[in-house]
Amino acid sequence: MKFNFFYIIVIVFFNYSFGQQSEDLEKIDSLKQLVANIKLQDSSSIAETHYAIAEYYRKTTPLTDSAFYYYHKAEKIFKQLKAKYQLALTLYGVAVIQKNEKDFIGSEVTSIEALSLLESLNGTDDVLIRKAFIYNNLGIVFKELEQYDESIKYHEKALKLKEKLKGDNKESIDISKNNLANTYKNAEQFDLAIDYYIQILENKELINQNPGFYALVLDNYAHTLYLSKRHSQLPELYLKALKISDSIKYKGYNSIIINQHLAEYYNDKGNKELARYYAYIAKDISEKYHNDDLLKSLLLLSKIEEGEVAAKHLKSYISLNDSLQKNERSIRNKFARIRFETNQIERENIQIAKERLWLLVISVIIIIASFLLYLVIRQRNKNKELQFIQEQQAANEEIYNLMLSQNEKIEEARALEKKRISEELHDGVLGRLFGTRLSLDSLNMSTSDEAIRTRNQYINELKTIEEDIRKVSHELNTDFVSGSGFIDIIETLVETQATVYNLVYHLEHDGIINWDEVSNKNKIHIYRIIQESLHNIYKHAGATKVDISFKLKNNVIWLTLIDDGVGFDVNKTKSGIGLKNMNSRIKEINGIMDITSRKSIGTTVTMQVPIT
Amino acid sequence: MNQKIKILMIDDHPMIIEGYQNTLLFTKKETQQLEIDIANNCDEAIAFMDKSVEKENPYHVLFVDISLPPSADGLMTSGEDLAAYARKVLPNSKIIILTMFNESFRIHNIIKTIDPEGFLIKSDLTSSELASAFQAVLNNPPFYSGTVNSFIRKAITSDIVIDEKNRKILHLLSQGVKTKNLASHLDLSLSAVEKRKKQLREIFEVQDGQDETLINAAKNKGFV
Repeated sequence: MKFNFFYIIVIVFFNYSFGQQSEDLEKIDSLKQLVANIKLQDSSSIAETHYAIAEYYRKTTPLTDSAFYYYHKAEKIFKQLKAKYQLALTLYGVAVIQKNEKDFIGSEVTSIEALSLLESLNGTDDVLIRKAFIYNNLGIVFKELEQYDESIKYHEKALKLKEKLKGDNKESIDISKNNLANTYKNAEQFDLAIDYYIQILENKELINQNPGFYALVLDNYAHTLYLSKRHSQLPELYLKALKISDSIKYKGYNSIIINQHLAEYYNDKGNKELARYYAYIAKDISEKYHNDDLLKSLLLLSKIEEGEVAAKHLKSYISLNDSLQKNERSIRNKFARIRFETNQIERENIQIAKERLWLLVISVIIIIASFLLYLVIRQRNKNKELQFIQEQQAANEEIYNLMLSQNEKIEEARALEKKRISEELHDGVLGRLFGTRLSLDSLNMSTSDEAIRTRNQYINELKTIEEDIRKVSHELNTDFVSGSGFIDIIETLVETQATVYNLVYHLEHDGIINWDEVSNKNKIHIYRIIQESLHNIYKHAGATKVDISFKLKNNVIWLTLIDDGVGFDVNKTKSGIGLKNMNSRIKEINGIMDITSRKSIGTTVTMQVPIT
Repeated sequence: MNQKIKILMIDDHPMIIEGYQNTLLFTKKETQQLEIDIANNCDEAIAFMDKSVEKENPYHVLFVDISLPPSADGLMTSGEDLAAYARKVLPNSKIIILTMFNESFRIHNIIKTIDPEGFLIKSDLTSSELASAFQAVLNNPPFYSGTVNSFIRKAITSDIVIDEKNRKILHLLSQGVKTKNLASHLDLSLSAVEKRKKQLREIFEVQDGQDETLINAAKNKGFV
């Protein structure tokens, strides 16, 4: 839809600006601008616009190479889109250009190609008129190639098609007839040619409707009469044609050939004066166009003039002929180059598209790969973290179990002690008390002196029992196992570690720390910190001696580890995982850690851990 | 007519023996003449018993303490074993059990295996009670102290019947023995012990799995 609208504008615009070259070029520029603005996807619109530009160049300017360039562009796209009708029109345009540039063989091939495309379509009026145009073009091509039979055949085909079509196409039919007559004229079948010319000229309206064409046909008719040596109506017919032609445009393009014919006629009649007059007019007009007509004019002059002047004209003729031939060749080369260049650009475009696709694919792959990599790394880190936490937990559990078993031992010892005291009370004290009571009870009844004395004895016995009870009570009061459990665990740890690391150790602890009050969490962390420190001392300090002490100051446990290792720069050393762990542990139990170290003297780690 | 009464007192505390002696000597009838032998441990007791059998001059009354240090050969571990031995070698002797134990398990067991003529609990024993027990055993046995009597009544009136092993389990648990150690004490597998405990919990209608609750329930019903 978009295209159609656009196309209409273009057509309107063509009609309006016919013959106004500078404006035309501006319009072409605006068309090109439009192409640039069309979205890339809308390739059919682009192709249609290219076609329109090409048509414009062909019909209104002599810039055939530009026309060819745009035709070629349009052709490529139409081929891709498989738009047969449009492709056929484009090829027809190319064929016409090729014909005009005398590439007759090329034009023939292109025409046949366009024709075969149209053959495969339904025979609508549009298709048929295009076919007729192509037949006409082929007719002209074969005429130029001097294959008159072929030319006549195609012209007749064109004529037949045109006659079959409905509507007013008399003008078109006349053109075909004129072309057919021209072929007959060239083939020297003058009678047939004259027949067709007369058919055209019989139309009395033609002189008013299309006087230019009428003049052309009249001239052709007169020239045919001249060639067939029927001079009775000459030169009046020539002069009439010239008069009509000049009436349209004085010394216009069409009058060249009439003037040439007149010069030729007068030269034949021996009237050198008039022959020279018309020949120079022809030459003057044709010099503006610098084409075959000038060539013909020069050849004619060389025949009319004599001596040096004739030689001069002949020389001009030869040099012009050469330059024209060179021109033709260069134009043809240009066409070939346009074909080649567009092909190359297309190939490059394909290459670029391919590269872009690859780039896209590769970047997508890279993005996906890096995303996966990121996931894998993240997962791995997570796993590591989890594993670390698990290990940590397992280690903590181990210590906890250690403490539990230690507690159990203590409990067992306590139970044993309890049992011992109970037995002592039961067997020793209770028995004696019972015996004494029983004796006193029995002595109660008697009041004899002896009984009084014996009672006294038993009362003394009660005193010793009292003493015994006091003793047991005292034993009960001193909890011999209380609190020693955790220190035992620490001692075991330090002893085994020191043995493994080959260290001499000294462990000192304040008896007044009540380890039962310290939470298990804190105990576990203290245990781990000592373990970690000993490991560091072994691994990094290379110490031989370590002093560990627990002291209670202001209800805070002061844990100090002093080694005689190599020491390190506390500020510079990047925290290793061991040190980090120690820090995080101390933070967890709301403690404070302080490390002082001096090179080759040793390191002191002091920690303050609140009891609760 | 003088009545000569031959007595063997077995206790590892000389003070207690003294107490018995004092009591008996002060409270005996005029006609009664006491001949007292004293044994401080199992070995001595057995020696006295064997000697009396040999001389065909058996003891009339035996005072037996339950908690005694075991004999040298390890065969006799307590007064209970000694009493059983005495029943065998001195079938006509009257046995008075005197014990600190007032736990029902022991009482039940002792009555069942020995069926003593006298059963006294030291903690609630007075000299007059000991004197009347002595006379009663000689003339009209048996004599059980108040605690023992009340225990027997409780056990009889209760619908609950539990076997020996279960009683022992309850007893050991009340002593504070751990369940995992029960198995070796009783010559049972751990799972069997658990099974029995479960059974006991059902019998005493105890809901939770605590040993303490079970023991308390058993105590209330007079099984411990």
